[in-house]
Order: sequence, then C-alpha cells, then structure tokens
Amino acid sequence: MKRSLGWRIWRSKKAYLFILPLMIGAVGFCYYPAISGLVTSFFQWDGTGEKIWLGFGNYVELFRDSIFLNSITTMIILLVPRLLIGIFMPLLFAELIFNTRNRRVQSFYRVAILLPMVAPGVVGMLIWENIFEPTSGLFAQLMHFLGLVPEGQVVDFLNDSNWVIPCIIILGFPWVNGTNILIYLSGLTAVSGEVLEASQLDGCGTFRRIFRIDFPLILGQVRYFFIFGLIGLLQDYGIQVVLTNGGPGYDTYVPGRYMHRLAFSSGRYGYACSIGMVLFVTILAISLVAFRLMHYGPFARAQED
Amino acid sequence: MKLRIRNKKAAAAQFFLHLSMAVLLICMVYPLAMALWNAFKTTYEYDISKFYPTLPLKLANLSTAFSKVGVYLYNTIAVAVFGITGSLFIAALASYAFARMDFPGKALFFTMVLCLMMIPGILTLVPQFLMYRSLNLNNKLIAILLPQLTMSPVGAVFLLSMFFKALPKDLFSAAEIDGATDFQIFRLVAVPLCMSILITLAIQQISALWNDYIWPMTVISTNYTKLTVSAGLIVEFRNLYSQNMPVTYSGYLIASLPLVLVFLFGNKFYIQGLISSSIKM
Repeated sequence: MKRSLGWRIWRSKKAYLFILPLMIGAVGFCYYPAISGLVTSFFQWDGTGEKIWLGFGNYVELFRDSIFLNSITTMIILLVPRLLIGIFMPLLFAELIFNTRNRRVQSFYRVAILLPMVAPGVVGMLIWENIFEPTSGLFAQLMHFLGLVPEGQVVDFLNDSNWVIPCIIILGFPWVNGTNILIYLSGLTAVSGEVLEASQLDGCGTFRRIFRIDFPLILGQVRYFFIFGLIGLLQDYGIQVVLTNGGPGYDTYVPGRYMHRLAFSSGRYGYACSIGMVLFVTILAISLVAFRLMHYGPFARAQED
Repeated sequence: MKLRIRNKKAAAAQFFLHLSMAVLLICMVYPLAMALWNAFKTTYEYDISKFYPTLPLKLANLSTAFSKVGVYLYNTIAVAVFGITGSLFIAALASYAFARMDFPGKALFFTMVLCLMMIPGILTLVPQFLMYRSLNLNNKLIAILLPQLTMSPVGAVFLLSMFFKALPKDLFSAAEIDGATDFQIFRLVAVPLCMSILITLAIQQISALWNDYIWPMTVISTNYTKLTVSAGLIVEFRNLYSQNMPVTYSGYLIASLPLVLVFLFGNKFYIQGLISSSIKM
C-alpha cells in the first residue's frame, strides 16, 4: 500500500529532529552569508550608509584593477612551489618511515613527525619571522656562511622585493605535515605484503618499487592532496596577515589579502565581496574539472553508493 | 655470496635512510627547540646565546607571559570545550540520521550539506562578518563559538555518515528488538563504536580552532580580551623589535601547552582514526 507523502514525513519526524540543528547552521550560517555575499557584490557599500546598485560595476572595475591583476600573478608564483611541496614532502617522509626496517625506530619516527602540530601555526610563523631577522637571525647567518649575502651587508629579508617570495616559500622547512604523512603511510601500509615480497624476489629495487608499485597504489591520496591543496592555497593569505602585510609595496599581495584590506581597512564591502565571488567561481570551476578528470571527491563517491 | 652483498647493500641503504631522516628531523625540531630554550633566558643571555641552551633557567618569564596570554588561553579552552562537544554532537546526530534512517528528502538534505564543502571560506568571510555585525555579535566571544556550532559540523558529516553506514546492520536490529529508541541506539550503540573517528575529528577541530586567527581578528576588532590564542599572540607579540623576546617565547610555549596535552592523550587515537578514514580514500 502506498502511503501519502504527508504521512511519511510525519512518521519520520524523529529523523528531521536529528538533522535539524545541522540544517539550521547550514542554511542560516553557511548558505545565507554566501548568498548575501553574491548580492552585496552588485552594490557599492561602505558598511553603514546606503547601498548603491552598480550591477556588474564592481566586476568591471576588478578586471581593470592592476593591484588585483598583479595579485593573481603573485598568487600563482607562490602557489605552484607550495603545492608541489605539500604533495611531495609528506610522501618523502612517508617513504622514509615506511622503508625503515627497525620497527621501534619506525614508530618513533611516526610520533616524531607529529611534534610540530603541538605548536600553533602562528607560533611557527613567528619563530620563522625571528629566523629571518636581518642582523642576527639564523637565516642571515646561513646566507653569510653560504656567501649568498656578502658579510657586513644587512638584508631585511621580509622587506626586500628580491627575497620576500623565496622566504615565504622556504618558511616552514622541512615542511613536515604530520597528518598528511600519516595518510600517505596508511596508504602504503595497505600495499599488500605479498606484492612487496614478490617484487623483492623478482629483484625490484627500492626506487623502482616506489615508482611502479607504491605510487600507483597511493594515487588516491596524491589526488586528494592535489585538489585540496589547490583549493586551500588559492584562498590562503595567512602568512601575509602575520608577517608581510602584503608588502613590501604590493609584492606579496594575493587576491585574498586584497579582499581583506578592501573590506576591513578601506570599507569597500561590495567591491571586496566581488573578489570573494571571483575566487569562489575560480575554485568551483577548478574543483569541478579536477573532480571530473580524476573521478574523485564526495560526489563521485555519493554516486557509487 | 650474492646474498651477503645484497645484505650489505640493504644495510647501507638503511644507514642512508636514518641519516637523511635524522637531518630532516633536526631541521624540523631546531626552530621549536630554539623557542623552547629561549623562553627561559634573560634578555642579555638571549642576545649573546640564542642558538644554544644555557643555564640557569629564568622561570619568571613564564609568569610574566602568562599574565599576557592567560586570557586568550581561557577563551580558547572555553570555546573548545563547548564548541567542539556541541559541534560533534550535532554532526553525529545528523550523520546517524543520514546513514541509518529513511525519510523523504534525505538525498536533498545530504546533497545540500555536501555542496557546502564546495563553498570556500574566503567567499563567506566578508558577508559573515557583516552578518555578525548586524546581529550585534561582533567583539563578543560568542562570535567565535557560533561558527564552531554551525559551520564545523558540516565538514564532519560526510566522514561520520560513512562510518555509521559501515557499522554492521545486525547490531542495530538487535537493539531495536530489545526495544531501544532511536536516540538510545545512537547514544549506546553507534557513538561508542565510532569513538576513534570522533576523537580524530575532535583533535582536528581543536587544532583548527587553536590555529585560526583570521576570523577572530576580523570579528573581534576592538575588544581584544575576547580573542582566541593565535590571534592573541599576534596582537600581543607582533611588535618584534621593541620586545622582550624571551617573554615572547614563553608566551608561545604557554599557548602550546594545552595542545601538547591533547596530543599526549590523543595521538594514538589520532593515528588510528586517520588510518581508518584514509583507507576509504
């Protein structure tokens, strides 16, 4: 017997009660701001006075705004190396730990790489700021030692156009990310022992094994870090807020940092929202393409179920 | 003979492996260690010997630093306790419904939640600030607590519902036959079985809360005593050159201590939970 929809809804009232707190948060605090951001991006608004309708005016201005256009270039220059580091350094650590024969030492390594997580990221950055300190910092000493900066010359690394970008990339060396290393490690451990043994018997060396056996099997993890690393880095301006303030000049401005300044220093909320929308559309397009190309993501999995 | 050569080669490879691991770990630990020993120096000692540890330890730095960062620490712990328990409860309850119950519109609601994973934080930062300001919530601690309860659960739902779905059906039918209500099954059967992933999520959320400074600094622009710890550190210690650096490092140390405790107790669960969730990748 087919029951009416109303009856079925009434009967599942408990399920609705279970998801109610989540849905209130999702609609009121996630969807609402996103939509109001879209609406605000069509207005000129200083945050207190009257909203003035501009249509696509903000967007037109944005693509003529040289600060914004340059910030995109800066973003890409910073993004590419940091994305590669984010994918390959954890993999390097995971392979090193995975290939350790001594079980005790192996589990020591596995806990040791979690160590940096106990210090808040800001603490890490501020320590690095001190490392980049121009006169007596560790980095200055190292550069003198290597002869990259002549003895007696003082370079304010974070305030020098030639140095600031490499410094931001170097920051955090050796870029240990405990969580990601563990995710790789669990992927490697899932490679069956029999396969490894067989490859060894057939005389397959370590490097060949890494490329031929390990890599294809942890491709899922590599894709994951690629997509989410890209999404994260496209909107990241954390270092700029703490260390460089976007400077020197506009050298380390990225779109996110520019948006932040427009809204909270210049009070141009509508214009700032249009940057947010452009970034959103970019990120959405990239992730949809990436998900499609890589057959990956929550949507691919939802379909499988 | 051939075997011996191979063994020698393997031993050499192992030696090289340990060597590179040691170098990398030293590079990783050295800045942190520097911060640690500099936290206990006088300013004079800091100037002449910041690259290596010295005695005696100046413990007074800690109390000076605590008087500066204590309030931020208190704020963060308060938000962590209420926000993260609440967030995980909300997420687990909804995930349970998505995984175990059947109701009209389930696919729609679930897709709505999943789609939110595609909305980047940067899009909502400015409008979210405007919303909190118009509700008169800015410059209050609740402006940091509310996102914990409304936005954090969204990210946890996908993983949690996957775990609830993977639990064996028999457990649930057994509980049903024994006359347990839905909420009882959720509380007494489903949640205890997913404890390790819940702890993993809790650690992730604590560490995200600890690390976030952009939202706190945005929404709390004047009333600095309501900031959480990362933002507090920036506001308090940002002016590098006119600073007492050892006290600054003591402040960093104090700000990290609660996370050290979380990791001491949680790292086993964290490793386990990550491994069990990433196999599903």
